[in-house]
Amino acid sequence: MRILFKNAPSTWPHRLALLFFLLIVFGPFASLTADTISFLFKGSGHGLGLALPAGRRLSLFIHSIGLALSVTAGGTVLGILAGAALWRWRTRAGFYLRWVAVLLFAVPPYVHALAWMTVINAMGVALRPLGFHPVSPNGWIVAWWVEVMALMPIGIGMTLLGLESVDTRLLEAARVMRPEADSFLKIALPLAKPLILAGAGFMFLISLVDYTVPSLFQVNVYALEIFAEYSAGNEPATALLLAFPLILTTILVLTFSQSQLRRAALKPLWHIRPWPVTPGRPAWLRWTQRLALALAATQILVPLLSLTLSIGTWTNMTAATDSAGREIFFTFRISLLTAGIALPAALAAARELTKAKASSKFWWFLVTSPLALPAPLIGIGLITMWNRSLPFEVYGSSIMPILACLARFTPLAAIVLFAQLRRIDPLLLDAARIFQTGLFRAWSQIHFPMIAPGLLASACIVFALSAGELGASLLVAPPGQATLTMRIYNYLHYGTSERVAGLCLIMTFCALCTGLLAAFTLRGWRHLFPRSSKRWI
Amino acid sequence: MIRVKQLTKTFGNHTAVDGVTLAVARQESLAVVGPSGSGKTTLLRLIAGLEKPDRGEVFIGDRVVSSPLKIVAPHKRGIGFVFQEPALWPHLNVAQNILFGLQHLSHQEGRKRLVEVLEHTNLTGFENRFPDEISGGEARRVTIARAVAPRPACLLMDEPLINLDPELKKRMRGIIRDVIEDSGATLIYVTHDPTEAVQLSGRIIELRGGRIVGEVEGKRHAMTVSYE
Repeated sequence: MRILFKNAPSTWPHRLALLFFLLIVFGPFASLTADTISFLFKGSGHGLGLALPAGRRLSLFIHSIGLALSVTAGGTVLGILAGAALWRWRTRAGFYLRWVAVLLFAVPPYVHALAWMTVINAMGVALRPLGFHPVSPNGWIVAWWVEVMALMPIGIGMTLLGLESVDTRLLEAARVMRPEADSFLKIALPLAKPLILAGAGFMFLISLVDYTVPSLFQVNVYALEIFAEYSAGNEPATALLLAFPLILTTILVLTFSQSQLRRAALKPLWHIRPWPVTPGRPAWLRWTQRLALALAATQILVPLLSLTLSIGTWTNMTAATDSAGREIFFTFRISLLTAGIALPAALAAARELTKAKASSKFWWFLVTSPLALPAPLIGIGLITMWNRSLPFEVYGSSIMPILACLARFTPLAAIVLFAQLRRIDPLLLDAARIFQTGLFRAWSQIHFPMIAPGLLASACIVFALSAGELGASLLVAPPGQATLTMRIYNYLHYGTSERVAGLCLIMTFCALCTGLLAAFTLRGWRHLFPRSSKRWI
Repeated sequence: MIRVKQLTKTFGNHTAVDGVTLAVARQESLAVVGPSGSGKTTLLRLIAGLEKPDRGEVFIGDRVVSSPLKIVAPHKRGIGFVFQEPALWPHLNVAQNILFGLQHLSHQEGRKRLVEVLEHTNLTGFENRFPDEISGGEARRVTIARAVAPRPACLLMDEPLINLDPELKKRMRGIIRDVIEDSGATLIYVTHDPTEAVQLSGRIIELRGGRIVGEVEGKRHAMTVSYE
């Protein structure tokens, strides 16, 4: 691994940003843990017994793991096939499609849920006269399918990232000796494995801690127990104890799946060069990849079409927009602020990850472990942390949803920035250090242009994910205010309507526009900063 | 064996190979020399099928393998390629790297051939080592062993000794010469070191600006060209 900031002095802004990272990411969990310890010492409640699921809860836990595993398997296989097809497609259109495919991850899962509910209901209506039994709109299978569709972009993105990180020369060396399929299956895929495995790990933990999609299909999962238990008893410690097996499982899976990620040759997706000669594929691989691409297209077309048809008229669309004007503005404000505030903290953490010291391993744990926390737990932790008399009001204000999004997505931004920092030749920074006439000048003229694509990508990802955040926001949103996501989720429980379809469509367009904006800016970056960015984009 | 006819390749505004025509007979050794950016590597990549020509054709035997309209997959050309960098697959050990190109042989034949090439390249005992456990010189030898193992009819070498110290270069030149003589393959050897070219080839062509500007006999005639 190249040692990027080996000799970089640790400045006070950097230390301050690191402290901020720890506070926003670990503050809620630390507060919740402290509350739980005090709860256990008091000897009140059923205590530690909650941490070991038994009876109905054990069965629920096993079922939840089964669902998460099957979602991971489906998403990974489809992700590998579709990702490999997009990797092969190195044209201008292919470049934008990559971004669309990856950023579709930001389309909240409940949008997929609503879209597929509509499709399944329509299929039922259409098939009944023909004597076919309609597909049940509820249950594990539908929940599995919708989760696979919602999480497939992670599989696609990580496969693309992994394949792009494979040195082209290694592939060319194989192409001279063996058929294209062999060089793909025996060289490219094994070398991309660390990132594909990491993607599978992410899919598993997101699926395991998500209760929104299963609950919409009348499927009870273990993550919902945490939310339900807290809602019923309002006791934070119970929620943490109940979440213990979930956290243990997710941390174990994360540790295993991310073990090779830190040393993997990460290569951001905004650097593509056309193939000198496009690699060929055997027919079986070509058709399987086409099928996966078709499913990836379904992933976006089904929500777009079914939601558009559900809305019916343009008047319904404008009515939906008008009725949620406040929520749209609130969501936009929260997402924008989160994206802006997350960057300095994420950058500081990413810098720690690139260091050669043993501490970087510790920082890797600090950056990845928060991803294992279920969203409701972060919400509950924030309430425990801020629901106290303070000279300034945080609890009950609109700062709470921002803090929730920061706690959830700053680590993800740090990983994206780490990938960008790994691309920078340390010698360039050493040279800048030798010739620099001032800290600001070195930063603005050397560092910033080189890391800017990573900053932009991180900001877009945090923005899009914050706009769709639900698990924690649902608990911490200030009275009288709600994000667009919360509004949609509440509507969904009353059944589908033109209004909710309109709002879901707005969310989908927001995610798509963010992805395309990022892609356009990254592609145009070299024209904005032709000299500084030539090597990096 | 290999014929190149009016081969042209352009990257943007830069013409890397400009109407090159040449022929290399069976078992002949040809060195391509020239300064950096003269189009040597591109010419080799065009012959290997790793680049598509804008104009012209490449023949291997009587078959057109590259033209603007047709490109035969690299593995179907019966060539071996040694890259500038070792390009060893990091997840495979030395034996697996070499055996990768021997899938057409049975397990026993493959192992037999592996032992042979390891002996030729003084790599016996290195079978189970991974690329990050061997030195730069050893990695170059593994690359050569990997390229010659399938007994290709034609071997393309792109500055395989670049960045090696003089002593190691000398030893490696000996190994390459032995391996080529043993395999009887046609050799196209790209270098910008005239000494290497003279010692390893029977004929030398010089490329400048993507065009052939000179041709001399190797071994018998010392090159007088020098490069910056």
